Amino acid sequence: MASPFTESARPAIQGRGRAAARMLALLGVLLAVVLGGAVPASAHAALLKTTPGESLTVRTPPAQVALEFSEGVLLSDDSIRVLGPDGRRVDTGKPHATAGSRTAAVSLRSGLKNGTYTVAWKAVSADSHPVAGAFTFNIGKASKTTVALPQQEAGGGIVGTLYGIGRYISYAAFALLVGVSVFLGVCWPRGALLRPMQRLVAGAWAAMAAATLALLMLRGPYANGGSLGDALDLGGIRDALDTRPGAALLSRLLLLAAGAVFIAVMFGSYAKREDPVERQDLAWGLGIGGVVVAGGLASTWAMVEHASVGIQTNISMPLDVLHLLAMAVWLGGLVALLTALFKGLAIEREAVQRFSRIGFISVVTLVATGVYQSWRQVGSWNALVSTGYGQLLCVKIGLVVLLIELAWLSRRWTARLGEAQVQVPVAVSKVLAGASAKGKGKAEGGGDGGGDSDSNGERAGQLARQEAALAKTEAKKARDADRERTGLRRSVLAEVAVAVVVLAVTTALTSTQPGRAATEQTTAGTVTAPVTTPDPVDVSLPFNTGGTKGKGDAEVTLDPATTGTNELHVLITDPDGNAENVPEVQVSFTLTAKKIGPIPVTLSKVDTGHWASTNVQLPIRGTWTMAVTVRTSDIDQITETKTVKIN
Amino acid sequence: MRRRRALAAGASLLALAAVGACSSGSGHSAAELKVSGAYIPQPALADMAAGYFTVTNTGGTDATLTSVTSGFAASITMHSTTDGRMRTAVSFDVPAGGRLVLSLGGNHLMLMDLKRKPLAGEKVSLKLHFRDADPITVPVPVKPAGYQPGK
Repeated sequence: MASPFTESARPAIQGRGRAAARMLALLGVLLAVVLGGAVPASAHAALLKTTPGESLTVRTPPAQVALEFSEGVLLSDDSIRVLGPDGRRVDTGKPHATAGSRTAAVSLRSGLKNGTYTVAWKAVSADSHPVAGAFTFNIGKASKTTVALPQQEAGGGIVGTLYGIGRYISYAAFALLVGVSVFLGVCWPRGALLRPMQRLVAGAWAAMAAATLALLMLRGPYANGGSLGDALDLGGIRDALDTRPGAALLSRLLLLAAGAVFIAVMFGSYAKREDPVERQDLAWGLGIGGVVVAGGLASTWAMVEHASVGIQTNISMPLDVLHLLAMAVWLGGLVALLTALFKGLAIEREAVQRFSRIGFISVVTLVATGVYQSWRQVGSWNALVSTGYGQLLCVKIGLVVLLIELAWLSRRWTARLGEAQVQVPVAVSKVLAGASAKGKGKAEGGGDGGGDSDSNGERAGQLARQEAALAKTEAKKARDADRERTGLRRSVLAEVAVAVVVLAVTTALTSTQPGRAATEQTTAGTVTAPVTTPDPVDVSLPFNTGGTKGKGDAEVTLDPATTGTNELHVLITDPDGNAENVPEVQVSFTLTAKKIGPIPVTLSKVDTGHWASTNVQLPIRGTWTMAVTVRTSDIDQITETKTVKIN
Repeated sequence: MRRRRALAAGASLLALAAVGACSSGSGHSAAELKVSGAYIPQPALADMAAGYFTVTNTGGTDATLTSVTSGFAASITMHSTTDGRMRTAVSFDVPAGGRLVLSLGGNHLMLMDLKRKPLAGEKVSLKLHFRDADPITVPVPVKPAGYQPGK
């Protein structure tokens, strides 16, 4: 049916469709790039045994290399890489797990020559912590090895990809849910009566609930290296719930249930209430409840992600919650504003200005907490450029700067904004809402109605659709006639588009370990350390865990700092130089350039403040990053890193 | 040729006591060595432990601690620590009229690959080998983890 209304409505829909398609394509590419590259690798599963044994010499070339772990591990295609003396890969790829995924093996090519072979491995253990390491073995006799590990391929299996997408959707839906709710509650209460806004919030809630459920189901196969089919394994889900990430996901679900009540009240009794006193009372309850639910939801991330480990967790976790909330208020609010502008919902100038103020506060909060978290995660300028995490963070910072520039543009438009020219009466928007609800409800809706059916309902539906189309067209005309609103709409659209990308980068960041690069370093393999007489390495690492008696120095000696067996001593001293007793000290080594490690060192507590290991195996020469973690109380701990040259 | 004269160690003395000595035919009086304050903090595992003691030289000749052995550990290394730089030491000097102090955070022994985990209250026998002096065998008490002399 070629009504003039549908005709004229089409270009707008098509235009929006194209924009959406572009955005989706962009998002898809981004997800593929950043999530694909950032396969979380390695954990608390300990490597118990290798075949062939570490540093051992075998007479005949083995058919495979096998690793036995203390618990189940998740492997990706590049989990085990075996490199010959010439640095070329000699494994056939695709390691396979057996014996309850506790044993991982990769087949080797036949006809291997004599020499020293390097095995670099990585995996994710059941507790989601990454484990990785490297060792060498010899065929026939030991030889020089010039191992330059090949570029890491993206991968991680369909489960890993889905898990990454689920995480992204959770973030985005959280931002929408909280941001649109705040927008409607604080900036634009009248908007809560409008169906498009309600749909936005309800959709966000549903998306977040679905994503959380999916993550909960995927958690098992993701952590244990199972297939997609394992997502339906109830036992696996039960096991996942016992882990901290699983518990956090469950709390998120429960908080979402509470959030549903909040949404129902906001769109129901609150939005419809006219009496200002009653509204005021409800507003208080909603405000407090909303803050609690939103804060709780945010903390389900803060308690399991980077903020919960490393230094100053007692500061970083609350700040992370703030960061997430500010992000949600800003980005979610932007989407709400964009929706209002696109649908021509005649949003008042005052509402936009109110959001502009809230947005400004959010941005300041975001930047302040973001700068703190960056310092905390990265620690040094060198790490910012030399690690994958740092590079990804640079990308994010660049995008955020762009975002803030766009926000400034939006603010200028907002300042010039006149009062809405066409006030779409509530009655019209109700018709609009009703029509779309009906249109959705009818399966046969959208067909050429003429003569098909005489039913009154059908006719009323058509009429409503026509009216809706008419209203839409008029709203669009009105909206396009308003120069300021058009300008604001464009700048907000740009903001939202950049925000979508920022969120994707952030998702990748949260699954990237500092030092484990998603980007291959161009300097890989160009180790120019001169061969000199072995000289022990002494490193003094001042630390401050933030707690009481949390300050001190970690004096680390690595002797002789060459490939092979090293002796490592850590001496923890208080600021006065006396040996200081601390509950835990951990040391690990990572050769970022060749993607080896972190190789954890099993330290033995020798005496007060004195930790040592006589068997630190560093397989290859190069500039390794040594990470020393000192825990001074149940909650206060810090990880300091330093590069050490291994000859 | 040096004549050596061993001073008997007060055999039944407490752990903190020990004896040693030697002399030479030169004009100086011989090194008079005494080991005191020896202890081993109970380690967390059986793989390694630290050891401390003080050697006092009241004689007129310098002495040098060249190694420490024990049936309880597969190997014992000596470590020097100065300004946080920990080094495997080949030997330690015990100057005439001075003393050698091995203590927490400073010079110390590392006992590797212990027979088993020593427990507080037990004693481990250490044999100190010197250049220019006879070896001294010291029964060293194992102290609870975190023990610090004088605290």
